[in-house]
Amino acid sequence: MSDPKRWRETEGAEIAGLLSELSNVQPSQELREGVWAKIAPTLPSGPGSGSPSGSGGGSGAGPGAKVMAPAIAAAGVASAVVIWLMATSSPTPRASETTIDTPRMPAVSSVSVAPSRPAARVEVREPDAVAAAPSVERPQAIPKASRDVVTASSSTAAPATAPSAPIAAADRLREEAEGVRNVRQLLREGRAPAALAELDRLAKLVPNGPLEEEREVLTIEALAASGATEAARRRADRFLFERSQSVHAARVRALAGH
Amino acid sequence: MKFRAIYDEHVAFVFRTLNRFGVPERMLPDAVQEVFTVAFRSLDRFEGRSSMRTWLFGIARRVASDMRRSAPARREVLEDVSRDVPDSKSDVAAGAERSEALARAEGLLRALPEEQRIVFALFEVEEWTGVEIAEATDVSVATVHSRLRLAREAIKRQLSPSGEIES
Repeated sequence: MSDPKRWRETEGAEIAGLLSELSNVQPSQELREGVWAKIAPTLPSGPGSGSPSGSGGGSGAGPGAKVMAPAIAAAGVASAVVIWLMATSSPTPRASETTIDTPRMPAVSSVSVAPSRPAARVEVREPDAVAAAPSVERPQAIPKASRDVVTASSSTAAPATAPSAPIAAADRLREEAEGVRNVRQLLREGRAPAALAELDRLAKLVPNGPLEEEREVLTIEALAASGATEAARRRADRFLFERSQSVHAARVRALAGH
Repeated sequence: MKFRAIYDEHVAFVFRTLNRFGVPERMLPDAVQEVFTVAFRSLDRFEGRSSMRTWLFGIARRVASDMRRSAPARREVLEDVSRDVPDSKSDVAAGAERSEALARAEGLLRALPEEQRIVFALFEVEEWTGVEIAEATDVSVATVHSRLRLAREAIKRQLSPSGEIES
């Protein structure tokens, strides 16, 4: 049974262009070398089995033969988070707007696309203060008194409880439920940055609360509403990968524009 | 030396394949590493009955499946929102530099059911033959052709605002 002709041969420029985009996607040099630096020490034939040629990603990857998730945050490979990127220079800042070139991680793309094409650049205006932690509006901050009660009753043996320490289970549930209600209200009012700040607070306070999945959906919604469409898409992809059977899956697909 | 050569030759394909199986971007470096670690560990068992890329495709498929299954256990680390939400700034920067054409192409692929997406990508993007795809995905060549046809129709529907499919 012979194969049909490939689209590249039969279709026009539009489809050929799309296929070309897809075939040019590849990991960035940083990702290649960062991953290789972790693989190489595990190879059976020892150090001579092929060291990275012109290695550039040695910084955080060193002897770490253990890999998996925690390493992502620390190693140079962390920059892999930034994917599907064109490796270009930083965006042009504007005087009256918050600019978007303030990455917290090394500005390295993990994917490079063939350099022949110019990078398309989407201009994104940063909403007021999506991630400016200290100055962000904190709607309905946790009543300090209630937190004090919790720490006081349990602190006889452990004198120095950190202010951000997890709170007791019952309070945690109430706090999370209240926080989620706040977030919904903020989103209804069109205050996505404040909603993100509240979600961030809840994530620190009750990292694995029973409403964690709902919070993740709200985070995607808030990111999308604040114009961070790429971040929303990426989180949505992860959500759908990990929780494809979730009751929220259809909503997440819609938020991500799938 | 051969390990490095294999890695250099196939890492881009493995990367794309994992992504097409839905492995989220943040997990891709780990996934790529896992594929090659598994492959190199069992390289002596690679008998050459299939091509190296077909073999790596099979490993990548299993790694993606394993990661999906183990996602809930890993979620605590992977979804450290306190780190992620502020990172949205860099995400936005990333999006700003992302090629619109690539985003569109990826969107078209992502909208396909996985089995169609994989067949379409292997045939049209990687330019595998129907026989190779059938072998790698454990289906018949006729099924490969059928999935390819469905994928093409779906993509044309997406590209055509009126929903009409040109033949």
